[in-house]
Amino acid sequence: MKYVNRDSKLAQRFYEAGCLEDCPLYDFHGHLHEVGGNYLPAGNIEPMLDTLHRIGAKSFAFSSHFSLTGVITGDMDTLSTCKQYGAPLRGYFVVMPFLANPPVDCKTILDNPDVYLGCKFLGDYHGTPLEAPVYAPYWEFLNEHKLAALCHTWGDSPFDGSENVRHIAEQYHDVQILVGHCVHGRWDDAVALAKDFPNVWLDLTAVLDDRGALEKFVREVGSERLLFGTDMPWFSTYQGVGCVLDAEISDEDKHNILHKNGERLLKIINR
Amino acid sequence: MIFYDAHLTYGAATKLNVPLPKPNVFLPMLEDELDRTGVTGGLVYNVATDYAGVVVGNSVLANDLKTARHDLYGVYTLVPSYTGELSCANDLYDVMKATKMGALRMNPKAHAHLPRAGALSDYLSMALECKIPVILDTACGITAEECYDLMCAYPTLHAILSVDATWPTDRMVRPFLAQFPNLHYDISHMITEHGLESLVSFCGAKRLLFASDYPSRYIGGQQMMLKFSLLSESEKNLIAGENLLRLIKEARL
Repeated sequence: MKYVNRDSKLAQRFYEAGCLEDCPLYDFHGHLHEVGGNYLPAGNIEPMLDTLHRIGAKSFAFSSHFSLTGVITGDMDTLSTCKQYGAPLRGYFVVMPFLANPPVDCKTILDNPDVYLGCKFLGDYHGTPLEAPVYAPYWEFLNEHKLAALCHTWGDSPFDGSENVRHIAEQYHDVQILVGHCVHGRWDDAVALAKDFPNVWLDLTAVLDDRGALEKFVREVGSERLLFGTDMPWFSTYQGVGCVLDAEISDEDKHNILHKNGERLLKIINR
Repeated sequence: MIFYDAHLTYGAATKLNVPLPKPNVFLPMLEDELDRTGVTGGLVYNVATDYAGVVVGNSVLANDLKTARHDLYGVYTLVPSYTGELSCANDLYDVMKATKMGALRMNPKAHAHLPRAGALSDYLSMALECKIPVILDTACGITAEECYDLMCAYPTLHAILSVDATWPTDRMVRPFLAQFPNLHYDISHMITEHGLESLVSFCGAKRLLFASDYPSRYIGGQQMMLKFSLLSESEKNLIAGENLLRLIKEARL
């Protein structure tokens, strides 16, 4: 009996081994610690690191919930965790609209190139549109230094829906814009963004639980600008990888999604 | 591991807002997908039942199962007996046995009946007596609160709870597992990192059922999550399929 996907040699090998040297993992969307609303049994860093090591992750870029909620001011939780544990951990500097201090924040990012890939914008949760003036200095900074921005995006959001992303993408051509959750549910909008802007990447976090969206993206956009993400500790890394392996796309596409695109993106942003 | 999937559907109308690669309109198409992913059997119903009607839906399912693989069991959809559309509670066990049905389900919203124990009390009493699993799925027109009330009315019912929420639901699900000893939890929507390990430490492995909600969700994701969990091999085997087979066996269906 063959499991996960009889038609994929990569799936067969991954299911047997649980970790493949020629298919490491690059996860571009993670978090850390507890957050209101849900119980996260792997909220602390140790169980997350255990999974990352077991599955052969080369990079796991996250933003701490403590930073996202502002319960601990500044971005110290993400930064200190990355400094303490090192690879494969990487971070996003969380831009908090009501705590924004662009000169200090941008210097922190520049001073820690081993940690930060760029910024994380959580417009929906912070009630702030991506194109709001308070974010503008950060977009200018990311554009100037050719870094990445992970944006939480969601279907009909007035803060980080497809039109908000489009507004930013039209203005900033040198930021690598990671469309977190692919404007969830508005799959056609995500396709259009990726087609219209070469610096837009579709982050599959929380997309893989709806079977079919991934196949649609590969069919209509190609697999070269799809990034793997889990939201860990929310969602299981092995579950996410299993969804990619099960999907009705080629093994070459799977390699692109799980690691090759991530390797390329890190080179583009010089990280 | 031998996988039995406690949450499978087929039929023409799946979730229309999701771009499924291909809908599995007919049962043999679902069986092809089970072969592709290495699933031996499980519980299945035809989604058309919820818009075409329970009489024709149950009948089509029974007919399709005649030529299906041995390890695929149907799920019979209930509506209250007061309208006389389905077999009465006294006859239903024999009907289920004759048509290879392994469990009961309901969709109060789709079929416009009260999501209360009292509306289905004759069938639920029969299910309790015969140890027939009753599926309570929050995606099927019954809320978690209504599931809880129903279980309070039948606390020893052999039930399978499915919570249609991708975000972690431990705070909602664990009271069910703690208070209702014969309730099992379908993990089709449980994809939390270290979630399986945490749940097993809470209630043991015998209460969890491998499930995918295919074709809406990927079977391979759940397989990888279970295989590479930090559970023992015996715990994984229970969840993968042994628990579901035990449930069906206990009902002698």
